[in-house]
Amino acid sequence: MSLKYQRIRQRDEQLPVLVKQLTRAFSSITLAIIFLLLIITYGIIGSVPLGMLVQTLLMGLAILLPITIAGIGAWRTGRSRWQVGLALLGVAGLIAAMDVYVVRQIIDAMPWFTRYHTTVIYRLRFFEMTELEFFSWWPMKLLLGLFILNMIWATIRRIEFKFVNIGVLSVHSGIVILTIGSMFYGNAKQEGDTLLWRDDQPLTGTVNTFYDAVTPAIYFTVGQAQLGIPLPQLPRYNDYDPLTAALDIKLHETPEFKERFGNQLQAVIPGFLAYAKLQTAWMNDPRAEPNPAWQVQLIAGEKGPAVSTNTLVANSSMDSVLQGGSWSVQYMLAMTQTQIDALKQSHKISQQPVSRFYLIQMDPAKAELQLLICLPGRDAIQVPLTADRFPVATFDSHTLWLQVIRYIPNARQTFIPVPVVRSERISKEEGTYLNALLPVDLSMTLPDGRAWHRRVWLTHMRYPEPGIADDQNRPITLDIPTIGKVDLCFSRQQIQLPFSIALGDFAMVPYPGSHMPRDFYSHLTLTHPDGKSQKGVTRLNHPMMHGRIKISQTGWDPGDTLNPQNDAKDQQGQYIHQQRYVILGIGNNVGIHIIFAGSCLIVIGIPWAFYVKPFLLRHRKHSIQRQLQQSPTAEES
Amino acid sequence: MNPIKLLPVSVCLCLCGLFLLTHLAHAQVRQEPAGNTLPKAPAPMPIAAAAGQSPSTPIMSEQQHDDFAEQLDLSVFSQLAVYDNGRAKIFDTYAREMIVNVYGKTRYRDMYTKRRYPPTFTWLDLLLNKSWYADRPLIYVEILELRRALAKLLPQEVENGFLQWGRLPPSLLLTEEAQQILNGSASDLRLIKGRNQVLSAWAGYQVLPDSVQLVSPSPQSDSDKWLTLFGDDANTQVLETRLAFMELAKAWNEADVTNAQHAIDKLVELLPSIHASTYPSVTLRYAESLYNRTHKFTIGYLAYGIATLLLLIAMGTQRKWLIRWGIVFLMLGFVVHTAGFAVRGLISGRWPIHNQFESFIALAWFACLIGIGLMFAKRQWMFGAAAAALGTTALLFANTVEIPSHDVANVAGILATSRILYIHVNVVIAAYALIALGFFIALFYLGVYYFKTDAAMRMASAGLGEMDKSQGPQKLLHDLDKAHVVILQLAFWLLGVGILLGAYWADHAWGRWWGWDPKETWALITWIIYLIVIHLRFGVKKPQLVTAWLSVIGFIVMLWTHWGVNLLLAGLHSYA
Repeated sequence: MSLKYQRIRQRDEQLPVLVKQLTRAFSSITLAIIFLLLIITYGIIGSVPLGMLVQTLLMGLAILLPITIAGIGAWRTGRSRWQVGLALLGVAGLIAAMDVYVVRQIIDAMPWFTRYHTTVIYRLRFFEMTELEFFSWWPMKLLLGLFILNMIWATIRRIEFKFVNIGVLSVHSGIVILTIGSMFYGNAKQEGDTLLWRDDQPLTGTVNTFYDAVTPAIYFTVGQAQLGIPLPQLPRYNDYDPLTAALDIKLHETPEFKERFGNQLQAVIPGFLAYAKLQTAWMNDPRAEPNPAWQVQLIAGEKGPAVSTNTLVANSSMDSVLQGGSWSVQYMLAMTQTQIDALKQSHKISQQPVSRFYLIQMDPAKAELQLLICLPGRDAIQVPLTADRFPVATFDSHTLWLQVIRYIPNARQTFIPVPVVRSERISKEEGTYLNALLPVDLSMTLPDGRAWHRRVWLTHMRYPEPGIADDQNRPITLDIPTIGKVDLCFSRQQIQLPFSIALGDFAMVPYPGSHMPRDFYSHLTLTHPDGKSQKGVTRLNHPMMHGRIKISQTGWDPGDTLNPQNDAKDQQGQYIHQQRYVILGIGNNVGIHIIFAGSCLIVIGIPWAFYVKPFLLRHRKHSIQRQLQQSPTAEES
Repeated sequence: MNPIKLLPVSVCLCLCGLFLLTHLAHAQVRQEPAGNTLPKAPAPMPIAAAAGQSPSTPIMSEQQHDDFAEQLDLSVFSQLAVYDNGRAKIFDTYAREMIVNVYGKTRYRDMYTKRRYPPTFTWLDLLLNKSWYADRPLIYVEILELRRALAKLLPQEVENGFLQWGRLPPSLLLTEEAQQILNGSASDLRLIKGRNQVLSAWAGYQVLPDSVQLVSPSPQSDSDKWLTLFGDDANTQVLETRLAFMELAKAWNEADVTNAQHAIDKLVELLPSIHASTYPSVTLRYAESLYNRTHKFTIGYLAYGIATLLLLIAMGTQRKWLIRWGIVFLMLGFVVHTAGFAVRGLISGRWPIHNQFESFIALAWFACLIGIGLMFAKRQWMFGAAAAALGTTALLFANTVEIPSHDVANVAGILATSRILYIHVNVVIAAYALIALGFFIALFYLGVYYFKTDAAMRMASAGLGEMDKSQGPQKLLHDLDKAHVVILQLAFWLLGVGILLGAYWADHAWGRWWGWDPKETWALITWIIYLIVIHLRFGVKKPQLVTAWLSVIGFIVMLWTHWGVNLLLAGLHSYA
């Protein structure tokens, strides 16, 4: 305890008890260490998946608990009795091994661990945050704030403001400045990216906006006018059932929407699917043209589970056949007996080792099926399908059955959203919206009083640009009564730039003799509204700075690397199928200089405190000793 | 008799046993197949014929094949250069990488003859004599589920043997059923990954000689691309080399050793001379060959291991001459370690700290360098023993475990274009090295603290450079703590500097100085632990003991930050 702190503690005695306790608590190193431990805990929880964390803790406890107990026991038996101690530790080791076995069994038996093996806490329903949002959440801010307060108070009360202490004072000031700077930085930070076409491309043009890295948005485009509504409240990791309106985000209540569409149109996001696919499916639509189809199921074993459910549609070449490795089932409509006989004949001369089954509906108006069985090396057999199932193949003494479920007279193709099971998800893409499906319900009351309603499923477009859209990720066009054609697009929030950017040229520099990129060069022109322009290059690790805005090279167009024409160039030497666009990272850097200053103080302060201060103290001690030796003693004087 | 008196002897015996077991285990790993028991299959089964295809007809007998492999001298040929996967490498390296891709190990072992072949021979054999392997277990199938499904297609009498061997014959993969298994619809990511691995191995098996880039770029040409021997734009020298290669192919198929050797000698002479100025130098190629043969110089663990033993025995028995010998072996290990680091740098053309293998070797190297430096500066042998123990552990691990990215390869552009990154990574690695060194010193401290016996005191006092145990335990502990704190303070500072340099780089590379990526979070946690160490020393009853225990915890956390986070947590640092 420093002399300064001893003096201050004496003065503290005059303070009211509560104030005295509080001020002493915030002067203590113990409290600082508690805060640091809490920050560590927060960091662990925020970075390690829950399943892995609990599993590690359980395993750790299983090993450490018996060994610790035995260790304490051994210690208490006396230091000389090593045999007893070692024996105890040996037994503890055995118990630990058994514990690990038991815990392993428990973990294996509990699906919780598998389910949450890759789930970090901020991905849970309650949180639905990004990593960055979780670490910028109020508990972390509170912890950091209290730690800083503790450090400032302890520094003021404990450390003498002397030259020798400049190191520790510098480190403490550096930590305070860095923390305050990073809070300022975090609040003012805007970052995202944009896509920019090369100047010789048909879609070329300048951009004066970029897309936010985090916040999703929905866009309504009518003609040339575009309305973007940010959706910061949209979840990102979990599914929210639209049937129960689990989300119910009312877009029509936003001022921008009201201004554009008035009160006439209502738009609601009723749910959200974080990782799903739109699959084609056949449904019965009494209003549609007759289109006979049969829903069937493949069943493993006599009473086994359904392997898959399919719809056989005679008029769809894609969906009229169902096949496995050694068998196939085909649904045929309006066949005459002569045609069936021809099939039997062709089977007779066929040498193929595949079992073929034909489900034949001779009269389209009657839901009755004939089954034609063509097994390899045998004559074809035609029977009416009286039972609802028949075997199609046998594997390892298990039989695969085909069960006819129901008849669909007016089949119409539609798309249904199907969540992707966890084992099939690409973990890097979870939470990015790249595979998300967003349902939007649009409704209005028509002038004649009838209700109009549509639900659309939007896939995410990272860049809502015309050249980027594909079959999977594209805007959906709706014809809305009294409004006309409206494009709906699910993307990211657009942020305005104070200038426009154009891409002049782009070059990917590969490693010698290969196609592996080593660097990228984007030649950019930035133009201000007043016409002033600035040219520059951005490349990997060398961003282009414009005031406080940083433009970095983050992506490029590799083309289709499997296409043999991918390396083709035009007469100007420009690639035709690759390197047509770049992706630029754009962000501000407000407060970075404060952070830099804090960092410098820490970096300089630590060696002062560890090496310069002891040196100065030693030097002073020696000089005092020398002075004492040189000065005459009392006896001499 | 106090068992503690036997401590040094016990430790030595344990370490000797460990070395012996490791070597035995290592030998087992290299010789045994992936399965557990050897299949009983006396001769190759005509699987292709069983699968309804025309059977392969190798023209040489097992004996001829073995004799051919035995008599052929490929030692110089294996040092010829070939361009592959973005860099020029020697044929030996290329062959090793290709065989790992196809077979799963660097050396092919025949299931029937049990003979192991050198990588260069196997790869040339695969290029020129594919039919020999058609019915032999060659294609590695990593995912057991997939291996089982494919093995079911084999004749029943060989199914089990092939399954245990872990490899399947290429002819099997040509069958319709196998193709259905490999190309049919699947959505499970693990299975898709497994299929891709098999398809990649299959593609490796199908590589033809005309796709191997053996001719270095012409200095007159604008292009820096390497050429094959069978290109359209071949000059006279290339044509001559092509003829030599075709001669080799013919002799190889006939198992004609004399002509094959003649063709190989011709290739060895011709290939480097076609465009001599762009061909990698003999020194560089020899260095790479040495790098491969010494298992990336990780055999240095032997010298480090002997040094550890000698230093521990010397400290336990107070014999100065053993210290001298320990230091000799320590320096020998360090020279080998340094050579490994330097040759890796020479081959890759960069300071090798870019991936997990490189950073692991660099971390151990930095720790040994600092340990040796401190040992000489302070005349405290404990630092040498700690460095030797750390070097042994690290190089033994690198020698026996296939650390990710152990092959030399180009790095992602973002890592290749920044100077600040080099400084950041080196500083962090140096800090981690100090933490590792601090851990060993902490073990010394804890040993002395809990075992205040004659042997422990003797060992500690010798470790501190005092060969007589005149000083009491308190003085010893104080000295050990002093040495420990020197290390930890430096580690704390360097780690702080390293983290901030990383933040500076991230600001340039990713546009954000701090993103709470798992690696960043855990680096900060590691730093906070040492921040706690420094502050706890002011307010606890036994600061030295607490420091020692926290150093052990800090080391475990550092290992997790350096390894666990990369392997188990997804983030931006997954390549580090």
